Amino acid sequence: MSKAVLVDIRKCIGCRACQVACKRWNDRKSEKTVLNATPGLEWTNPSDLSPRTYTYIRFIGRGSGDDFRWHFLKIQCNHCVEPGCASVCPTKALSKSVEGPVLYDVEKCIGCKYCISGCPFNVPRFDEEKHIIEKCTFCADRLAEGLKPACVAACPTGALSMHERNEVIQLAESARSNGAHIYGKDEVGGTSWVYVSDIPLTELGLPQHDSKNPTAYVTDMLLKVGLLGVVGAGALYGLGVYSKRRSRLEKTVHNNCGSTDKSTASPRKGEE
Amino acid sequence: MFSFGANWGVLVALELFLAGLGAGAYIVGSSIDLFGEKSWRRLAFAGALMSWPMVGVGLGILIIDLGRPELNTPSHLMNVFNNLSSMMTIGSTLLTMFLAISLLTTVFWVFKWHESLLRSIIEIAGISLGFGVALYPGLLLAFARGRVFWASPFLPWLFLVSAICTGLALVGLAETWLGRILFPFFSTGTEDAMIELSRTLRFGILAKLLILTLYVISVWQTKEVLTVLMGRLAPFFWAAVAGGLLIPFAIEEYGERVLKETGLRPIIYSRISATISFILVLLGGILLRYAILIGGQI
Repeated sequence: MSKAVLVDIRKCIGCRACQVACKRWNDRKSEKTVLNATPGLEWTNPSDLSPRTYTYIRFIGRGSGDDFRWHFLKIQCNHCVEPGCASVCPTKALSKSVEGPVLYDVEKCIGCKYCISGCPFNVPRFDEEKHIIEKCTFCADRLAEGLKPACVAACPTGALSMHERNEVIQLAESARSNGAHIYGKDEVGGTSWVYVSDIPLTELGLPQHDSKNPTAYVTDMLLKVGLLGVVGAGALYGLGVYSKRRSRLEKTVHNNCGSTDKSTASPRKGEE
Repeated sequence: MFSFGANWGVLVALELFLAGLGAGAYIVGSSIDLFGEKSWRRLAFAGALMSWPMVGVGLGILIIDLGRPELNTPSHLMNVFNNLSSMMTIGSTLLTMFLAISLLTTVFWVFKWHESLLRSIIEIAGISLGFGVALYPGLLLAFARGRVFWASPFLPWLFLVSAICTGLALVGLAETWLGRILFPFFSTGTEDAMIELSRTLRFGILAKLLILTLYVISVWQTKEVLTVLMGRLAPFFWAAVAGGLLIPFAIEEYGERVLKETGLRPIIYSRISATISFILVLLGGILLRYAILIGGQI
């Protein structure tokens, strides 16, 4: 059965235990980070994903005065039900497993980086030294042993919890019926990491996506490209017909003018 | 240096450009052979002869850009054909087939199998593949869901028209400078062809301007459009528009007017003005791809 994680950011306190657990389990070395200069995101550290950072907590300050509140948004690979990265990958180095994780096979990868552009959440990172892709693995090795992902196991508040995907959807829907906002149930055809929040997740920086999965997205784009092609071909044909007519007309006018000129031309001397 | 931290940088832009250029040159050359006068054949041969080296060099650049020669052995690179639903797999297949067909066409030319029906059939197949190769970079980008700046159905058509314009420029340039040296065995009489080529180029430039405008309108809501039109990439984008479209159009248009008014061989066909016009079209093609490619990633 396919596993999924519910990320209830209403319960997150920003302790970053998940960040640390991920680093330790996946043996990701530390890296020099810089202060996040984006207003409202100053406490976010590290500021972004990297080959050495599979997950981080985005600290988002909203409101002012007594209304000021922090929102802690965990960012990682969302392990889409039908992953955009896998659908564009020419070598099938990326694939969705039945258990839930989107897996990366370094042996197949040629380093083309198309997955980076194909991911709707801008997650995969390219390791310039090793020339390979790095991203959250959903701790597939731990799942295989019946364990929870390191970040989920480390979360002290229950903001992260792992279940079967249909259970996660039920929990998310139940939260929505109580006024919460959810993200990942339908976006890009659904993800295995589903968010629950008290404000819309897109307002916290998650990208706005419709429910089209990659196949539907590509089909839709292809139809539009094809339609434009038909319109363009029609316009070209019309222009061709118009241009031919015009040149024929010009020739006719030219010939008529020529014959008129001859008939009205004054006779030469001696012909009078 | 000019990649602004984008994953696909200058070398990928160059590859996209060369693929389009090779395909465009082939489409132009083979169309001249199929639908033009017999005396225009020198241009047709130039189109075929220029196409496969461009595509081949582009592919070479792409492999170099992968940057892992120890891992990417030829057999490992064959993995690129694994996923038939990936535009990169489809593009690689098209490029490989196109390379074979364009090489074969050149062989037909070299051995002077001019009147062969088989060559016409090969050329029709090559033109079809050429359209695929010219459209593929735009489709490759348009299918990348993580890049909203590329998510426009106008992009493949923009790249196609650009490929044909640059193909016309390359064939024109080859004829202007190398025609008699490289292809002495073809009869002369290509002036009419050059006039037609110039007219088609002017039409192509207008079409490219129109599609470019529609493309920009279609992605107007994205924040990347500001970077491309007014930000760090603006010099490249506007150089592509002014230098690669407007100035060559003006040069070609001037030549056409002189031809109409005086009936003389216009200044446009003097080597220098033609060369400037064609080179600007080529530079515009690469600058536009660069601005769009990088613009979608930063």
